[in-house]
Amino acid sequence: MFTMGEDMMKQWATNWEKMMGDHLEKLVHNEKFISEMSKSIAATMTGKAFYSKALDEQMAAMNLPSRTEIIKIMQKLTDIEERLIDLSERFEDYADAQQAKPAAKAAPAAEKPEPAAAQAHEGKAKKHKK
Amino acid sequence: MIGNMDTLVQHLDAITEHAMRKTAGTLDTYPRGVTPREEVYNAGNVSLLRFISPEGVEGTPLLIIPSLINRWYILDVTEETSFIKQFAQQRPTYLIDWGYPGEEVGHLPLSHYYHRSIKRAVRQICRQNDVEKVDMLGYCIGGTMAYAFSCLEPKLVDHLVLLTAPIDFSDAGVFAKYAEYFPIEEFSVSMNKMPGWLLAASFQFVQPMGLYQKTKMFNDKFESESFMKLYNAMERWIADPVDFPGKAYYELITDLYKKNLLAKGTLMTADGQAVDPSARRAKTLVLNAGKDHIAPLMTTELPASDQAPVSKVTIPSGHIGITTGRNAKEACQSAIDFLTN
Repeated sequence: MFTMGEDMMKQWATNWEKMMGDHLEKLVHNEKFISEMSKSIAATMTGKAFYSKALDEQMAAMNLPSRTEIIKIMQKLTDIEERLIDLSERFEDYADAQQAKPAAKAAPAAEKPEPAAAQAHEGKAKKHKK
Repeated sequence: MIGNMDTLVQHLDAITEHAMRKTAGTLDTYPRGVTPREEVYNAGNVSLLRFISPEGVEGTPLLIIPSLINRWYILDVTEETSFIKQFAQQRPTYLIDWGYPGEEVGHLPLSHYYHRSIKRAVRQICRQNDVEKVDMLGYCIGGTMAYAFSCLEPKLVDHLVLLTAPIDFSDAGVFAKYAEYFPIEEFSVSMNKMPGWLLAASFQFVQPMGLYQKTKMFNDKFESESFMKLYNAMERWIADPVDFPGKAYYELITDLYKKNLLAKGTLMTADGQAVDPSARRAKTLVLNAGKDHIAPLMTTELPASDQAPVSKVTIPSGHIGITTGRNAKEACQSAIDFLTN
């Protein structure tokens, strides 16, 4: 008897789930519904913008910096940080290029030494061996 | 009201975070990502992470670009499903952690992320590994950004994996409808960021029975240890939403979702460079999910002007399931096979 009750409950739950699923799926895909919901969000956002502006004006009247102004300062700091990162990257690239230059110049010299210089080098090496 | 809700949610999030850290500190159960890693570079909010590979592992470095909408460790949520762990066994593996962008970066354009930040990361990787190009994997919007980067800097990307990445927004499913009606101009004058909790709520909203089905599944499987491990790790990830920088969000909705500029080849960076798909050279794998409602199959199509060699693999799963579900291993193996060939 309990098994039959459980089966009925399961069947009822499955039917409910399907019915609700279909209904809600249709609802969230309905363009009219989406449009009306967006209008409601737009109204909330406009209200927030108005409220923020009023607060900014109150802060200005008290000679205090507003949240908007502090965010602007933070964004300026971000811009400065970004420029510093760009500059330090350029500097690193320049330093790399400068280091690569003497190495590039030294490379052909090492491959093909001048006869006199090669002799002198050999002499020095021999001296060192002694 | 949204501003007050946002502050309230931030406070609640801080309290939850504190409690979670205390618990994780003692039990170490739900860390943010499981593969050991180190931060090798940092610029503002953005960090470059290098995952620890076994001794002697070498090859072309892989840079993973996660989505800006949520946290990166969905790709490293448990040892059993981790993409990152698999990649790190094979080659030097890096990832851009976008951090928690606040209002201080609300004025930065989307191209700051898909060009400037990625280029900085690639530059660091090339310097550290003495290479001239990298392989790339982008997930979700991270894939869109990786694609845009490969158009802008074709010489820096060798292989590109687009994991459920929307590129062509001409038929982007239910999200396109919401984007069409979303009051984006009101948003831009009233907010410097799209709050993470609102984004998370919108994802739940388009799957209205999702919470019920999740609860039902929990009821059916809570005695399974492996299920509970994945379930808790996923809950930890879901409870870690990220705010989307305001201007970048504005451009995502208008330039991509509404005007489809990337696929049309008319997207421009903030400093006036054209994001041209015909300039791309990277060998590309489009790895998409057959039941994806966030990036439906149509959106993962590449533009006709894109002449780079492309292969496609479709995994029978959803947008999140492809990274953590029963087919995650198959998806990860497809990416590894593509990158090694």
